[in-house]
Amino acid sequence: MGWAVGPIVVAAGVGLVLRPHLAPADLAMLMLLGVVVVAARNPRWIGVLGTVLAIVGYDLLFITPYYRFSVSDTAYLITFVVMLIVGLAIGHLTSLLREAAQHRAQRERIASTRLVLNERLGAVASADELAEVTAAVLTEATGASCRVCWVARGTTVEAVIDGLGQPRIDHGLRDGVLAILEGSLPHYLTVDGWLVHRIQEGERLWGVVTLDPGEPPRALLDQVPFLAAVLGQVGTILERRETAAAHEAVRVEVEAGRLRTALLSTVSHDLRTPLTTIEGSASTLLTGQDAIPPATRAALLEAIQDESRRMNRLIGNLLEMVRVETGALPVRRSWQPIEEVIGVALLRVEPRLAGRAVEVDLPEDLPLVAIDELLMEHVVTNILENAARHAPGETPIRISARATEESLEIRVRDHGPGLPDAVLAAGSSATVPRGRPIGPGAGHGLGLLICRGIVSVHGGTLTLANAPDGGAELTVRLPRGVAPDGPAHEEEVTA
Amino acid sequence: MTRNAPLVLVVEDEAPVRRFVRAALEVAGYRVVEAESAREATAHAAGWRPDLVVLDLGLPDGDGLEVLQVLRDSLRIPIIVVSARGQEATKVAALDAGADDYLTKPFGVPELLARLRVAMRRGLGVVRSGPDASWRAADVTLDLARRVVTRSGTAVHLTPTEFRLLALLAQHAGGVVTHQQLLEEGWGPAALEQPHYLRVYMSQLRRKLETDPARPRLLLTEPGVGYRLVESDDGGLTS
Repeated sequence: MGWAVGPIVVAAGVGLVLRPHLAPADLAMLMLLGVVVVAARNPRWIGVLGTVLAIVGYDLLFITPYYRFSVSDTAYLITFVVMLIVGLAIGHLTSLLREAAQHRAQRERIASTRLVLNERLGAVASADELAEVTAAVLTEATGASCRVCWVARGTTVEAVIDGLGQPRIDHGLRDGVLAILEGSLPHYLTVDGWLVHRIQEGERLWGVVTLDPGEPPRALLDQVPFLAAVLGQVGTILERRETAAAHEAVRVEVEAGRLRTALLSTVSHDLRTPLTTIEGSASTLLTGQDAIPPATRAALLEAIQDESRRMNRLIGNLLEMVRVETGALPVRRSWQPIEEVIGVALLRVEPRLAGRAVEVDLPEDLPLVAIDELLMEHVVTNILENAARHAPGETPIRISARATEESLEIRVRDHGPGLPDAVLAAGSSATVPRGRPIGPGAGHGLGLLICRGIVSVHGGTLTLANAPDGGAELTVRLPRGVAPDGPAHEEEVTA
Repeated sequence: MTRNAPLVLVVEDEAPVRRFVRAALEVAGYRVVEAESAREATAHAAGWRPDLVVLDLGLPDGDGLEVLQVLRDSLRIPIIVVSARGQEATKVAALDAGADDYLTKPFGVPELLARLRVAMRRGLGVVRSGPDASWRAADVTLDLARRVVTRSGTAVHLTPTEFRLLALLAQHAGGVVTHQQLLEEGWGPAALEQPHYLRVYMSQLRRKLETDPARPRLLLTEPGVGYRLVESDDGGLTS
């Protein structure tokens, strides 16, 4: 404070030196300059003090008789009053300016913190991360170590204290948290130097934040207006996220409903076709009895067998679909060569290939992949069957695999008419054309849909494309991951 | 039908399935006795003393695995279990509990008869599974005693583990051997934690024995269960 009134002391000193050469009015102006400087740069009460000091100093130093108060001084009453008014007025104006500046700074701090919260909270997914990021942003903004715990209906005090993870939690803080949970307090309270603040938007309590006073303890109450403004924003962000999640859930539900409808029409069609053949063939055999020539009889029997197998495949597809979609049966992944799965799939589709050429191109050094062999065999079988069904009988099918940095690619290429645009379009968005069966007739749809589901539970992708020179090209990409070490190397010993 | 024809106990709750299985087996020269429940199965097994059992694991009145245990304990005969696709864990449990082989529903008659044939040979002791046996299919031969493997008349060089795995498969030629059985044979019980060892070795064996390793004809994969070496061309292991 001594320094604060320094300008007045300086003014008095200069005045003393120049006293012989100046008029009292000039000396008054000099002191007034000191008052203005002090009032402009200090809180209002120091301004007042400085003014009084200046008046007393002026009276003692510059009005004859010097160095004492005398009655004649009253002649300078107007000078004293003007000095006082100027000092007070300047002090008042500067304090107004200062407050305005402080408000602006506070608003800017709130706005920038809100912006940071918006940005950083938008980028995280889990509730834990949300709490962590919120606490980090608040710590940065307030300079006091902050911790955040979310609260839901029925959250206990223990859970909150646990969530806040305060090492120095004491009885008072515990009562404070309880009071905040019960909503019996205003938005904040201080306990033992700690500041505990509700994270609230509207009527809903979202969580609790605590500010550590630190060592040595610092006052945190002046952070309350800032916190109130910023934490409201946190509540708004949380609310927005919740709403978005609810919308997404509805969208998924609607999408699933649409999928089910499309699936149902495809399934009923695909199941009835083989059943029609089976029932027709069987009843022909029963009613025709011996009148049927042996060749026809054999053909009918063969049809029954073929169509039964087709139905079995379809039902297998449906079961795998349910298995993957509902997660009812766990996906059992283990490390294995893709070659084995491809071998099983080729063996399985052999009857349907009917002697068609299949080129198999598998490099010997393919890495192991972590897959559920039953599910992945289903994928390869489906894709090969699709190719066999849609490409003309004499054209070759090619299945190849290769390893890239991140993934293992399995590619099946045929020389048929290629995939229809509707399937390609549906394939890219993983949805199904509205209101009609997935893939007309013996369709691509169901099988590919299931393939996509299975591949995606493996963290991979299924890409549908038509080759530039015709024919469909389906690519399964599976993430390589980190394969375990193989068994130790052994020398060959048998002769 | 002769009195000496082998007797097969078919345990299956669905009458139409029993009907076609009986028809197929009788045509193939077997005698058949049917059971439609777990209770009937154990009673018939004791009363009829069958030579082989075909057991559906999905019985309405009991756990198929328990029935398997009872039959296994009371009779020393081959048991072939039947279950649906997607129940590989059950199949593996049954095989590890002593079943000889399995069939996946729906199955064709040729498949059923092949499994029965292999299991009967083993059950009747026709097959010599001792260390002096040999196996031969396509252009590959295996002589267990002399530890010699040839392909198209040329010796194939195997590592000790490869040979142990192939020998175990050959002793069960035509039948399935589970992953667990092979892992224990190859690397001991500790290797059960390292199932990919087996995959790597089977892949090596195929490269050495198969004409087209990507489309195996001898060493077949039974997805989710294990491996099967095809039957020897002369019917079984012979000395």
